[in-house]
Amino acid sequence: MSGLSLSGFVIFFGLAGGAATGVFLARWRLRREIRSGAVGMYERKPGEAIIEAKARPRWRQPVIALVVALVALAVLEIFVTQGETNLGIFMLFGLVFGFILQRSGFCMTASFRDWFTTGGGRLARGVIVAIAVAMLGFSILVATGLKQPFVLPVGWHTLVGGYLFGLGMVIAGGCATGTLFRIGEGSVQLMFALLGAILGASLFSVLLKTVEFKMGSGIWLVDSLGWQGALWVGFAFLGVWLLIVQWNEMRGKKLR
Amino acid sequence: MTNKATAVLDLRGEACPYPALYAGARLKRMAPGEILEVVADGLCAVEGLPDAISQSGHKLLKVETLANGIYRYTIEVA
Repeated sequence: MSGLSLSGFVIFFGLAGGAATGVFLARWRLRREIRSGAVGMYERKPGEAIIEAKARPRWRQPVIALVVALVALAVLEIFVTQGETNLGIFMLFGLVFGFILQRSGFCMTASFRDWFTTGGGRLARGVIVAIAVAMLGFSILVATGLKQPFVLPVGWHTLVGGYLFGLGMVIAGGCATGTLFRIGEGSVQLMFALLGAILGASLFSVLLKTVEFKMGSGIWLVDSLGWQGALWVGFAFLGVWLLIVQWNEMRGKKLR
Repeated sequence: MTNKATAVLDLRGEACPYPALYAGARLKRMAPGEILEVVADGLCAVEGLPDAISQSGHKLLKVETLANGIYRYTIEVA
């Protein structure tokens, strides 16, 4: 979307629909568990001791982080001496990016999902700001000729793909980046999600090569509307999105 | 502890969005003034639950760290 390509806007609606379905499924499971009494397994007696396993010492994590940082520096050194400085810089960006993602809890999944669960808009606002900044940055880079626009083909498949990804990310509990930083946090569930993502992406790339898909061509909004028009459409879209998020939050949706 | 918990939910290991959904379903079956304690871990606990609780209008009385990465939320039903 930040690339002002029509496919980005189409995929948005797919993601929202998929996330809504994912939340519906989660609620369905919850209702079924309430009816069957399975939720009872979460109940504890007041005052009962919760922590039975020995807690891990707190000093362990900073030490691990220090070791990872040292290994990263060593790898960077190897990249630079091998003449692959770019790869090293990407890796540094990745480290910083991961750190920021984890600290902020930045999560595309939650930004879509929370519309339908809690109504909270904190993460959605984060995503909106991120897209706005990326849109401006992209425009500056392309307009000054530093970057070529990257336009994906758009069609019904964009909507279907968005829907499937939206559904999958809610069930799995993370989108692409969210999955990665939560594995770093120690989430075992998302290790399986990552396996599935790698498997799915690999299979699909094979499928894409053998079956000739008629994906049509991409529509770049700057081509059809000019810079001014495209940026207006982009920011108007973000504005309406923000309004809906705010309205949804104000409505004070009770946890249902 | 001045406030006695009426019910305790142990939602450790549940991924987002289930802690918020389970807690919400339990809160709905409680009377105003009753206290629910929720124990959860992971990112959902760190930010998803407080967001959800404040959003739902109930009162988050306190958050305690039980162990590294495991949190207990004390919620008063509004």
